Amino acid sequence: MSSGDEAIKDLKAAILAIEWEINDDAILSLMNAIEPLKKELAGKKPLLVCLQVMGTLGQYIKKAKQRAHPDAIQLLPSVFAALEKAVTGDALDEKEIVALVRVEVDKYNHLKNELAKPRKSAAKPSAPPQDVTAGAGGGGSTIRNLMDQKEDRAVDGAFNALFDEMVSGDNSQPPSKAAPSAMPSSTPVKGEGDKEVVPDRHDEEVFQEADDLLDDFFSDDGLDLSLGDEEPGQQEEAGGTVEVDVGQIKDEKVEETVVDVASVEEAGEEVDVSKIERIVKAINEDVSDSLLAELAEEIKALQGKYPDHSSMLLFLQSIASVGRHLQSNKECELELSCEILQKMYDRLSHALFTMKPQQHLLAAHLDMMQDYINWHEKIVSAMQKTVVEAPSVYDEMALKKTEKLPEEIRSEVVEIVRQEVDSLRTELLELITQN
Amino acid sequence: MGFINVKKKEVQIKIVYYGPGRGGKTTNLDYINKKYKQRIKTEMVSIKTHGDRTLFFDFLPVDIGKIHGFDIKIQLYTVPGQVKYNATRKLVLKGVDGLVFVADLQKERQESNIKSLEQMKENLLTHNKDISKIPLVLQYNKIDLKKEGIPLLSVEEMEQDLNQELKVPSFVGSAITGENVVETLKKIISMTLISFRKELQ
Repeated sequence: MSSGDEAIKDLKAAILAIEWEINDDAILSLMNAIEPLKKELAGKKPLLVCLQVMGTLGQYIKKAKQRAHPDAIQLLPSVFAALEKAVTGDALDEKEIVALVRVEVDKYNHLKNELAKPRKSAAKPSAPPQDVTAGAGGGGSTIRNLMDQKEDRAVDGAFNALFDEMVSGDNSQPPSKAAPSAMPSSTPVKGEGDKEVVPDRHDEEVFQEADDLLDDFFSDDGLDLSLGDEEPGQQEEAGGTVEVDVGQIKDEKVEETVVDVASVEEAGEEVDVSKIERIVKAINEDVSDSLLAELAEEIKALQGKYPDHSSMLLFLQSIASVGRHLQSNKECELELSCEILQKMYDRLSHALFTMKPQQHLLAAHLDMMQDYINWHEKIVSAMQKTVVEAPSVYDEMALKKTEKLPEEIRSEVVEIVRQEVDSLRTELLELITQN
Repeated sequence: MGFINVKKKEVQIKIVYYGPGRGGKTTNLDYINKKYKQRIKTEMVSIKTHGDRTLFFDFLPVDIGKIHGFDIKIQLYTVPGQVKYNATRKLVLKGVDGLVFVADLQKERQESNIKSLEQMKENLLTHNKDISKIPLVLQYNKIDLKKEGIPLLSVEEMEQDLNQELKVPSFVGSAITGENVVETLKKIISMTLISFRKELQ
């Protein structure tokens, strides 16, 4: 194996590692893998552009971490594939290589434009940054990050600055001049209206409005006080609770040391979800009962066909939930529900594409949960609005929900998560260990 | 850390229930969830083992209403109490805004209360958070066991063990009967929201 082949192999490993998990080590590996290739491919400008794009994406992903635009993470392997093909494909001539790389550069331009969009209104360089009261060392909550869909415009800005430099290098300078150190060092500009607050203890202070609100919310007025007959901690069927029995779980410490990676790998069989893709696409164009029924049927079929494919089943279960919502409350946040449906399918598709070489699906699942929870919150919020405008409609919807949801969700989730949770725990522990 | 979005007029706060295993953290959330399910309208996610123990965490999002036009969204979490799951506890503590430490009044649980509080302190430090600064409420749980003749620690003993230095609000309660469960939650939310007062006005 030549040193070039070795370097390509290292780069591939680094990119796969980033797909599995974004952390500083993975990005460092990427950078370390790019450097020797720059020397190896010196003079081959199209290939150097590929390396430059990957380096820039790496810097962006490093900065953005979990908030990185999903297309950026997908673009990395795509650019690598082009590079690999150009390097190892002996039948390609110069023109074909340029065409190959051009496709990736176009994708990169598209991504750049996507990231630039939300910045337009807040792109004035002289605009003062928002007052950030958060401590610098506080770090972000992984869980909060996963719940938090706000755009990190500072990161987008960093990406754009890097992109601009890379593009100018592409046009007029040797690609190797696009240095990661070009990352802006100024204080990150928070997005309009975004602010983080680190709560401190103020023992003597009283926030009367908050206390009033809490008194209102937690008052007993109008509650169904049947609770007294039941002991909440002992109830078998928890109303409104998705309770998952995951069976006997190994100790954390044991798992940390005796992780049999092979045992948590997904089944290697190719799963065809193209039918779901078609149905979801059609639903996005026109929601009909027949399509929703078809979706439910296909999900059921896949669930039956791959009962052990726990990772996929978790995705399918969420898609099914949204589908059921559309079936029962089509008029409630239709567009949002169609969007989330598409997004969930995209995540499923991506996970199926990448899951074979990886065991780290936790991030993908949590991303999906984040989407689902955000969607769910919006649906609830929409229903709350409805109750103000038309209480009777709301009551009916709420009734349907309470009658149907616990049974449906419980029966579907229990079996899936039972199988899933062992692997999730393993991944979680690895994440923690690496952090 | 808490998050306020002026544009969307929204505040998000993360409250974590921490404490020794079988102390009643999940039962606290269960009680809240059941009692106010008509108002909460979202579902509590609870991942448990066969033995009914929390494995990852429980999660209950609650929208309590508006202050000065801002939607106040509270995310309630519990950590798994079992000693072996400290890595998970650390993870759940990331980004926490307010804490409820659920201690067990049973005499035999005295040591585990102290150890768990110590561990919480250490775990917070790994996230650069200081137990003496973060909003914290103590709940001395399982007072209902008194009726059954089970030996319990006195409130003074609990205060001595856990709250001598912290000097935070504490409640004697029973998650199973609901005694002081709501009061505990109201207190921690109120304490946490105080830091947002300036932003909300």
